[in-house]
Amino acid sequence: MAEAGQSIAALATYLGVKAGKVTLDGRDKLPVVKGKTGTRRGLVSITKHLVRAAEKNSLLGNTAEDQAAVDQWLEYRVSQLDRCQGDKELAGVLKELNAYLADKVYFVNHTLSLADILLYYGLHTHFVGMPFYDKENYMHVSRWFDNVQHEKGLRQTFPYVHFLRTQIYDRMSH
Amino acid sequence: MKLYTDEGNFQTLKIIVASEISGVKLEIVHTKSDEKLLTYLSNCKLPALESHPGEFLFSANAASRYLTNLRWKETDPSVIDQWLEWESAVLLPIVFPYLVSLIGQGKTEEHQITCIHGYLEYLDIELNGKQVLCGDSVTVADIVLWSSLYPVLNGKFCLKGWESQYKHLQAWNSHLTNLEPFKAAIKVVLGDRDTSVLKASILAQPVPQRAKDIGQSGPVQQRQKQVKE
Repeated sequence: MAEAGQSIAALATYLGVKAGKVTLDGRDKLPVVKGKTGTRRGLVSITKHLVRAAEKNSLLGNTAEDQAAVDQWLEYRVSQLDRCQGDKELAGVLKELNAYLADKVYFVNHTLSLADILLYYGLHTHFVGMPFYDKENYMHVSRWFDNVQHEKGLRQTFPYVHFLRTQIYDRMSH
Repeated sequence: MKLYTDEGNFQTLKIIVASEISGVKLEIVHTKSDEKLLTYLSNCKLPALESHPGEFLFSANAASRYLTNLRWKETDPSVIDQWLEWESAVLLPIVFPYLVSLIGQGKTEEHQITCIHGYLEYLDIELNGKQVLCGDSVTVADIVLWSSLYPVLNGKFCLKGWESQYKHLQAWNSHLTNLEPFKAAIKVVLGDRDTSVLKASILAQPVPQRAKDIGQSGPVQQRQKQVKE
């Protein structure tokens, strides 16, 4: 949940809106924000609401297709990435994302969306401690991650993650 | 559009109801749950909607919402967001393992029943004085919740005595179950059979994970490790 609260605060800063205080619903383990216009529950619901409040709706997708794709990757952040139990499951998630991003710059339709932002914040804690060998192993996620962390105003206080520009490990020998 | 699903997958109910509402004709392709459909996903999660050739939606909720949005304009998308997120992040990770225990192994655990009662009670309170979950007509929120609760509230494996305990939920469930798009979905997924036909799919599909117990997962504050590289 630390990650969810952090993601909400960082997104609000990026959008230039107020996030409000994030608490935790004990039974459902969902982040909760109580605002003037009502109570919002859940990372996806809260962040989508912030995007709408900031009138940056293009981050949610411009077409019905893109909106659905953004929604499914937001669900993936909450239901898959945030629920990894241990390194093996995390490796599974990274492998999936790596395969998906093999021919892509962003998650949805060649442009930055809320899906990129929330997956970047959600993956950051894992990337910070990752050895160069693994970063190369997940080269497409790494390329995407490096690209997103350079988006203006997104990284804020999240530590910069270093990537090597040239491959140092011989992939053929593994 | 093509819908890829294994037979008797209760998550497919949502997408069929949504397609019936949207008027989009789906070509249903039955696939085995161990067949790899999406090259990038390691565990083959079904159903998946091929919205355009080669473009897949592997989230049943996103696919259902996509289809209903082709026909309806959402009056309050934020409220829909919350119901869909609650269903995928909270309700289904309880309902799914419960069905695995009940339909798969013929026994359930006490805490699963307690949790489900808690959620049914919550829905019952939410539905007090309302025919549907948000606004004044059926939305994708109703479709998604109804589908995931279908085997819990209907058929051979339904939770005993829930109807008399949760009157508002009961009215909502029977209202939806009698609407044409919902009847059509039951026909497609279950045929004329009972919910025991869902067994093979429930045992084959990946079980959604519950949220980690925050109390055990360490400090609530920033957990970032500063590693020198």
